[in-house]
Amino acid sequence: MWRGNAWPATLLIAGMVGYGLFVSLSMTTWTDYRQLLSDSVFLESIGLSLYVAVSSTSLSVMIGALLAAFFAKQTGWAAQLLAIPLFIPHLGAAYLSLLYLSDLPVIGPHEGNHFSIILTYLYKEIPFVFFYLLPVYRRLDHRYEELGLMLGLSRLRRFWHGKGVFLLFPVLEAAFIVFAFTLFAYEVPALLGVTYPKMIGVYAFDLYTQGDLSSQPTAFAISVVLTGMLFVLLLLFTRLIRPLTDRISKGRSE
Amino acid sequence: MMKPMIGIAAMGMLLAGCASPATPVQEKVLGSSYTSIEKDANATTVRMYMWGGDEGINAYIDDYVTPKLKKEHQITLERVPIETADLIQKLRAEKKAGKKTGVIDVVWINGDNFRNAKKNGLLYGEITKVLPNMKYVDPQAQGSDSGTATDELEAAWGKVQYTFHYDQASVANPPKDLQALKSWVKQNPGKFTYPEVTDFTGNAFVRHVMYGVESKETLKNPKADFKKTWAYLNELKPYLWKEGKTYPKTLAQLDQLYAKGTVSFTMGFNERRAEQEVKSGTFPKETRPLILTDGSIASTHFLSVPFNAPNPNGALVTINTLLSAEAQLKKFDATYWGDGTSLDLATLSSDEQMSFENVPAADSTPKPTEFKGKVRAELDPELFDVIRKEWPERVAR
Repeated sequence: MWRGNAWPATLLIAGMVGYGLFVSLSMTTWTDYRQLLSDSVFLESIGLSLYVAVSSTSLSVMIGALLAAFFAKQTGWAAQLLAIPLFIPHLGAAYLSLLYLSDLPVIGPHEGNHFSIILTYLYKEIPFVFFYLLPVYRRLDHRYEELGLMLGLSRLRRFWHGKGVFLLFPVLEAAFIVFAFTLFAYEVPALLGVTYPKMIGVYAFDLYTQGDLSSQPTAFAISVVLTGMLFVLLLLFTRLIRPLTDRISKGRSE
Repeated sequence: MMKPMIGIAAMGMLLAGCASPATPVQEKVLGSSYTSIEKDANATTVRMYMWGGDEGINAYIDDYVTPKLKKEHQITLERVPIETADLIQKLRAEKKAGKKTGVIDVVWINGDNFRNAKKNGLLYGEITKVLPNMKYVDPQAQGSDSGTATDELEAAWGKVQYTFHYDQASVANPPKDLQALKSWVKQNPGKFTYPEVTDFTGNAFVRHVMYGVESKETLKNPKADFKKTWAYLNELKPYLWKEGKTYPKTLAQLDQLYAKGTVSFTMGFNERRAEQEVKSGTFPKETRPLILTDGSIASTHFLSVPFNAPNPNGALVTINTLLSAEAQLKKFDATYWGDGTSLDLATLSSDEQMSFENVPAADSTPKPTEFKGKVRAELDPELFDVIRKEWPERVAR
């Protein structure tokens, strides 16, 4: 695993997010948040974004992990084909969807089911998850599972102690990155989404730029609420799940 | 990833800058004679930030204006495409940060964006006072920008009328007014739509509906309930493209649908805008204009200089050149753009007047007589906001 110095990057990113939060908070008042949480347009928008983000994340993590499990045992170059979508930016992937899905029913762009957006994210995120998990799979030590077999563990428990413990946190990391990205992204939903309800990134940007700019506090409030949600998720990961997997993999308890 | 966050991050970079009320540079430039401005502008670079969504407009700047400025003033003109609303955000952030020298010399604005720029003090000053070619500009076009007084902060560059365009091959009997349009849409489901109201043109479509169905008293009161407008749009909705479940996000998207033949109508400010699209083969050959009897809103668009323009002299010379009869004639001509002139033709020489009258009009351009009695002034800018606020909840939802 990479053990380089992560501090410069951490400081830079923390500084940017921290200052962004500071500016956003200074632009908003309590009333903005109260209004936001009772605004049905916002609630529909966040509901839609959660639907798209959760579906895209769970599907891409599942498929990406299965592919990584499969290719971990191969040595050929076939897996490198999966790198192609990584070189295409999200904007480009959205245009590809416009180009190739436009005349198709159900999965075409601008449909209320938002399948075209989810498909675009799958195209981009499956390879991301795949390359994120491939080294983890390659490092798995199959002797743990053999040991489990010798000890007569059930299939499920063999999988959990042999692989699951080592995979859980990397899988959740990949899922968190994909989820945070797809939840508040702009380009893909701006090109493929519908007029109403808009996904939250598009809605916030519209509020931020339009008209006499009097809706800007609402846009700032949205970004604070979303950042807050992601922070809570991050805390859950690091405080609850990480210690659990650490403990199990070090064998201190069942 | 998150466009709003980019704005926030941009502001983050700025940190505490103090506002600068004193503007000695502005006074010096605007207080000097045009001859000395011209001299100072010689052999400089001018960066013009403008909406870049139309190939014809871009070609007019790149292929005609840029060489002209080079030849006449050794000015290097750089055109930078940008969404006008983003440009205002950029200037606002720079103002807040106290950035005294920006990167933008000339901006193309009107409507909301001008109102915001004026309110936030983002413009250079009374620039039209020093431009010699202002004497040709139509004072009526120059006076107000969608209901906001221009106060000499910007110069009228072009004047256009809202016009529908349809494909004669699929619309045999074009509707004459909004009621007939509604019947046509009901009989031809999926063949009509309009851009959503965050788009300049889509918002204007709703204002045309307001003109058609609301009383004069209601139109004067932005606090009124425009229920007739919402009712009309809701009646259209199930028969629109995609059953009204979604709308084109921009005029460019509506134009694509029209070019592909998915819908039979498009629309927009500028009665001549279909000419070069037809010529280039993008729009159907049989594209024809349509002015509804309910009226067509007249719109003027303007050029201005930001408060922190690095090269104000060059900006002023560029604007003055764009207001010359020659440049306006080339802009009016459909070769590149086909945009209505902001000049009062009566102030030009008879030769120049003749050349304007001799510009041929394609079949897609309405004859001047078709606008008789149909020209409407722009509505209160507050209505733009009302539409943006109400339409998503009362129509699009």
